[in-house]
Amino acid sequence: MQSYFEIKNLKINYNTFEGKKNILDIEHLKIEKGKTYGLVGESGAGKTVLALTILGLLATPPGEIESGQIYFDGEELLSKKEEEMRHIRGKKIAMIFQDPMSSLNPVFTVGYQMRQIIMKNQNVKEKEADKIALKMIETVKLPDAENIMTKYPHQLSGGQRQRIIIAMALSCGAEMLIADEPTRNLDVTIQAGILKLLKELQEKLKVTVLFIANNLGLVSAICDEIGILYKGKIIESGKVKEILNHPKQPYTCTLIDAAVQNESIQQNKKETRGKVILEVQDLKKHFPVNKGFFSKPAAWVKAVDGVDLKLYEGEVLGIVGESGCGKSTLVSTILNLQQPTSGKVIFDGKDMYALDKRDLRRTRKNIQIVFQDPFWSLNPRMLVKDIIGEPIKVHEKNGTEELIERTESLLEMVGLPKEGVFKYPHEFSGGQRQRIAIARALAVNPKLVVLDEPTSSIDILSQTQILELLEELKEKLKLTYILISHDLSVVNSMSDKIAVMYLGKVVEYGYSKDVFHQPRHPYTKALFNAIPDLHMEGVEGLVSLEGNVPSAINPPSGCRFHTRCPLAQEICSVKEPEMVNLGNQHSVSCHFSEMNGPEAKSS
Amino acid sequence: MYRNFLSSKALQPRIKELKFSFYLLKRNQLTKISLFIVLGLIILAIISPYVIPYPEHAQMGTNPQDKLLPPSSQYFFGTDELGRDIFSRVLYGTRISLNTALLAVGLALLIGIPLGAIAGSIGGYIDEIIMRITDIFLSFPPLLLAIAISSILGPSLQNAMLAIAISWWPWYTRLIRGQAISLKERQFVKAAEAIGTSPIKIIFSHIVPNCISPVIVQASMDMGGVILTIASLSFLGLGAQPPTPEWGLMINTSRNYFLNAWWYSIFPGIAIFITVLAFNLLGDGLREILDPKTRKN
Repeated sequence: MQSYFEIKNLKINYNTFEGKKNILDIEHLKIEKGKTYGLVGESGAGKTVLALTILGLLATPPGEIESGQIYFDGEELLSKKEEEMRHIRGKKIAMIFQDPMSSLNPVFTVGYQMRQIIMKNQNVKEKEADKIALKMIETVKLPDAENIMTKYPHQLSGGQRQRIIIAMALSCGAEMLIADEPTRNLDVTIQAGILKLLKELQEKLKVTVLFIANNLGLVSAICDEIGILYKGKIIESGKVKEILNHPKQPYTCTLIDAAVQNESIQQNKKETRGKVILEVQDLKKHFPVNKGFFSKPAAWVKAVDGVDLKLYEGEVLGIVGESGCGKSTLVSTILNLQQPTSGKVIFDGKDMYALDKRDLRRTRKNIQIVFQDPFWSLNPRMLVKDIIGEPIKVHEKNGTEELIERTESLLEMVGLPKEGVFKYPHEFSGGQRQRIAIARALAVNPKLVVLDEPTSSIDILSQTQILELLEELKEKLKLTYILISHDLSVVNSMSDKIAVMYLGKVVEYGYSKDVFHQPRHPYTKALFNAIPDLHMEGVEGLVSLEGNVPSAINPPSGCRFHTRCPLAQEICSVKEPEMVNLGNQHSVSCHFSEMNGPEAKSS
Repeated sequence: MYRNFLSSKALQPRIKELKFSFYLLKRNQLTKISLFIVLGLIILAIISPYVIPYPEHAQMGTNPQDKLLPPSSQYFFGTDELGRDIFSRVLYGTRISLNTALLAVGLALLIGIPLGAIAGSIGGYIDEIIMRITDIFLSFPPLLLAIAISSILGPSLQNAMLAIAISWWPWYTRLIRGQAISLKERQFVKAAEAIGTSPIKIIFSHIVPNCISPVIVQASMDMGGVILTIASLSFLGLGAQPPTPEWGLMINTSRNYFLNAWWYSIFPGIAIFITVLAFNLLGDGLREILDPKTRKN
């Protein structure tokens, strides 16, 4: 008996510069109607190729389908003509892409686009189509549907856009959804909402979902069955529980370990105190909006609005917050890559903003930064030896021979073979490139290293390795870190202190064990409970925050979080809460921090 | 630096890159053909003085008794009003056109790239000043501007070349500036800044190498346009002066004999046509190689 969706002996090759490569070799994969199947694999495992093949969108050449069949609802898809596929694609099988912006047309309103699709697919008149669209938008739980219909895609947030895409897919009566890492570019609190929605729709409308992800935690929360894709082959598949509890393949074990490790809480952080290495006093950075050549700015984006921080030597400070909260602006302002609006930064006894250009360049030797995306942070036209050698060239005078030797030893220090110095960055994987970026940051023995989301754009296996490497280097080289991330678990596993940021302000600050075990601010709690746990069954436990991060141009009055806060009361929209010290350097800015005590922490 | 570049280890990855470029090049038939034509033209330009049957006809020499003969085995493309072999002159003309066009585009790039990179990376008032100057140049049609400049400088091939360079550089400045603006927000530029690299070094070792590809594409396409413009200027009497065997000039003189001697104007015309087309196709192909976004599968 044939399943609802089944893949048999699918082999796909790619013709590349280096010859033919087999990139996908799936013996068997089946999904029953109304179930969710999670496909987990690192980038480059062939996940997206599979999704495109199912929809008949694989580019041939360079792709080439050697053999295999894909059955969907009793029909074989691979032998279908393009014209027939067009009826299946969108109507019966819909795809949700990583980046929702790429599947919406930026010059039409959301409502117009939905109406067109519905009119075409369901043969209805405009008014009828509008009604269906409204209903669909409500189905995907977007508030104020009528207003949303009149918006252009860029006026919506990432999460809203992703919901619209889902609504569009459903409005054509899609029976199967292929979700290709639909939450990759979203914040954790938004991600939780999308996961919940997918789960609910699947239960209510009996939609079959093929969920592609690179993270076991995500998949385990919403899927019935999972398959592990490794180098184009499904090496293990079965029920979620079975695989998590009794993995058979070593690769699966490492994946699980990686997910668990990120969750584990490091308790034994020492509270030793050296001298203050960095002090940030009431730092503000406002960007002008609509500034013409002669005119005055119309408004200000208050990206960083009064931040105080103190960092001791040898400490790791974690800064967490959703995208748009000002984390990255904060560090680039601290590093004086941008002029601050006001405030002071004292690094190693020197006022960063009072230095002249030459002194500033000399000081920068001691503060280095590792950026989020290793694909953009390394100059693609330079050899690795020139990339790592750049800071050495700038700060020390060295001969060529010595320089190459130094770069080789730096490369070995971060765990890469020294032959790599004569390669271009694109010859390395994401994790390896991040190692190169770390080697560059450490080339001139800095005191402080700023890690700007060092793991968020690389695979989960490399993530743990990178975190371990950073930990090891910190001990070895006596480094101080500022670690920025939107992922609390990453921050938690490394940092001594945590600062939680929301809309340009620090809302909670303290030792990581305090913040983690006894989060006092509702925002911290939401962040913490939005990450799907490996052993979580279902999505009920996930906390998703309603609404979006408000604009920093016109931040909400009073407490900035009150528009999304579950505890919000009248006072919150009127009075801005002060930072309250709860002892042991744990401080929080919330009117209800008292009643929101330790016992209120949900599991 | 130089020694460094020559050491074999550092050269290897670059050779690999080149091989990859050739692999991409081979996949596109039109690009391949245009590359062969351009290479052929360049070789022709170099060896033409030694291979043409009547080298003296490309210089001052005349041969009045054979004037205006149609194409034959003796004169493949026929002869002109002074009995000179048109085949020899057209082939020699490759040398003149390519040489002048290369120098003109090179000069334009030499002015345009640094200015554009500086404007884009530094921004502020410097950007405003540079861009307003380019706007002034851009507000004239390039051919008209070239005509105006070369008529001020006086008619000669060198002046025509200068005039073209002057009217062409703003295009490169604009192109590079746009690239530089988006590049300076890239993380590797921020990283270099955080390292403490000086602004000048950032511009020339990080920004320029990364925004050069579209300029190479544009420049190779412009080669065709510039060759055409040189021919136009010469046609108008503002460029090469007789007896230089310049294509445009030849077509100009041929006008008087057009009804009786079709070969006189046709062959230089074909030479211009092939050259311009080859450079344009090559530019298209290069774009595909250098800019992955436009790459067809």
